[in-house]
Amino acid sequence: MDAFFRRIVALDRRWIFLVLLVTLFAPIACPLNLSGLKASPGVSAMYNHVEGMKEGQTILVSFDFDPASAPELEPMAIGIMRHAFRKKLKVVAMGLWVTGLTLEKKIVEEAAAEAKAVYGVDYVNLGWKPGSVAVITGMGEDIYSTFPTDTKGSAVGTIPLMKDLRRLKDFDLVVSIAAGTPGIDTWIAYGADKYKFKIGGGTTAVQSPAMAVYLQAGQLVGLIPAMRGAAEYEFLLDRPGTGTKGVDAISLGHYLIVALILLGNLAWFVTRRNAAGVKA
Amino acid sequence: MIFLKRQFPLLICFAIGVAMALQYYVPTTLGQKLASQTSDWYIIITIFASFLGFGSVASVHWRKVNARRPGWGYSALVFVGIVLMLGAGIISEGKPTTERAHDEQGTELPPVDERDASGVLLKRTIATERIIPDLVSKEIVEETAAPPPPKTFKVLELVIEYAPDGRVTKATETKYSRSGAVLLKRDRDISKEGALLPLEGEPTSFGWMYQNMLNPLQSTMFAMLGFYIASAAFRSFRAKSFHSGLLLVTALVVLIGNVPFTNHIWSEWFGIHHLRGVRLEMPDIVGWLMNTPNTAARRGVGFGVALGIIATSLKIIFGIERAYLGGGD
Repeated sequence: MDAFFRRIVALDRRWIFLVLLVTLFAPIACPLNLSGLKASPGVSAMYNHVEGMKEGQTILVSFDFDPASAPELEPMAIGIMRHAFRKKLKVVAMGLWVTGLTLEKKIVEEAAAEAKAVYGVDYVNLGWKPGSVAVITGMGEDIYSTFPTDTKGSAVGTIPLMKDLRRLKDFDLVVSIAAGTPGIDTWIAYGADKYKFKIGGGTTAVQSPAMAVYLQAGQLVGLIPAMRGAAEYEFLLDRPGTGTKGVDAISLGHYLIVALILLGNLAWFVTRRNAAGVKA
Repeated sequence: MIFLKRQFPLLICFAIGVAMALQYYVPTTLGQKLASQTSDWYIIITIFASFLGFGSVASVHWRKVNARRPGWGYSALVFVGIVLMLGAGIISEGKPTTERAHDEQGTELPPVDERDASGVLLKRTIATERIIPDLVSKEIVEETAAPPPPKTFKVLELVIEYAPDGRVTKATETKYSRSGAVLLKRDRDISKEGALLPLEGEPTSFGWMYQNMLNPLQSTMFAMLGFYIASAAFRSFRAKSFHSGLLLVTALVVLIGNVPFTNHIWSEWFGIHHLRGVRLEMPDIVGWLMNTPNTAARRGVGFGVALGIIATSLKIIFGIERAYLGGGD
């Protein structure tokens, strides 16, 4: 038994990589549809806020992430866009991360095509501008001067949807789907707190404990945390997507890491005790 | 010269710092104008700063390549990457797809819908039109001696057909010449991305590199973290003391509790819903950990960071902290 635990302590990490790879891939290849998915308070609050908005109200969605975080954040971004178009809200998209610009365009246009939304009337894509803090404060004062043109090159002030949207407080809701900084905290510190507009967010698993502070303080109307949050949002939307598919893999990954931690500690305790016994 | 190098930057810093602080707390029209103006300046400075960043990166890697230091090949690859991506970006004008909306394919017009008696959408026609170039308009002006309205012609028409359940069944694209003759008529592959967008073109070299190089590379780099975390957790996360044991138990509860299936086991298999009248499902336990000890610690850190930022900002505004001015004379 001692030899077994010694081997465990000295286990080559490549075995761990292999087991984790199989654990993550298996449920993607053969979905398990594990039950128990239930919307957490932050996700429910976000969903209920969007659901409570009236047709024609406006939502600004800021895609503040890059391809590195796309697998975790894209499902919730799609979920928010689908919900907004389903509710016939007027959607304005933008981003604070330059490497996320192409992702943003793809998500927005696919969701719009799916919802048969018309560009300029139902949605607009403002794109990206450098200087995240300056962009937010600039939009707080005057969107037309911060974004003179949209991604198609049209003057923003001439787009029908943008007619009554001159500054950030004109939006009924701002949503930042963010992988880090600039992101939700930047929008709150330089935007929502100063220009007084409602903001919700979605973020990665690493960032969500930090953002929970804003949710608890009421500075966020809702918060979608990571892949699980996206799956919960899809569950509320009654429209399973990549978040729901991914949550099985994430679940098994979590269980595996817990098992590895327990096994590692057990092996460490046993070998340490035996070593102490030999010395005595 | 000393004044320009030392006192003048400090003066600018003091004036801007005080003005920006005042405009935040004293909301006046002048303050709003100032904020808007400085935001524009900030954006312009950021663009120039990116050139500075590029120069810094290039200098570091060039020295490594020049001295043939270990790993110099990776530094050389940095230049290859920069040149390729920058070149593709400039050629493609930073656009991921060939959007010829305003010069070749025209401007998108509002869609025309056909619906059945119950209002279900059956067919949508989206057209794009172009204004006849100025030269032609001028000729018309001379002939008629009166300014005519801008003349337009249809460039492209996309007809999307829907099944009663809302599914797209067909998308037909027709391209027209200026005289109205059909140049091309074809069915689009509706399974392809962007098939329902009238103005969408083919991926540019920049778009292709983004989609097929940057996207998978960044995702792979981030995904690899998961493997290292799993390995590190197995090898290093040990309950060596009371505090590390406490951290370990908390981490295990959060890890397991965040899995939806755990709640199913907890409440359905074990039947635990309440304990002495208090709701005690797994999300409640995780929620308490996240909302009470976590937020308390986060707020403490947040206050510390905020106070540090305020102190440093004041030191910079009043010229006590001058490290940003650099060394030398």
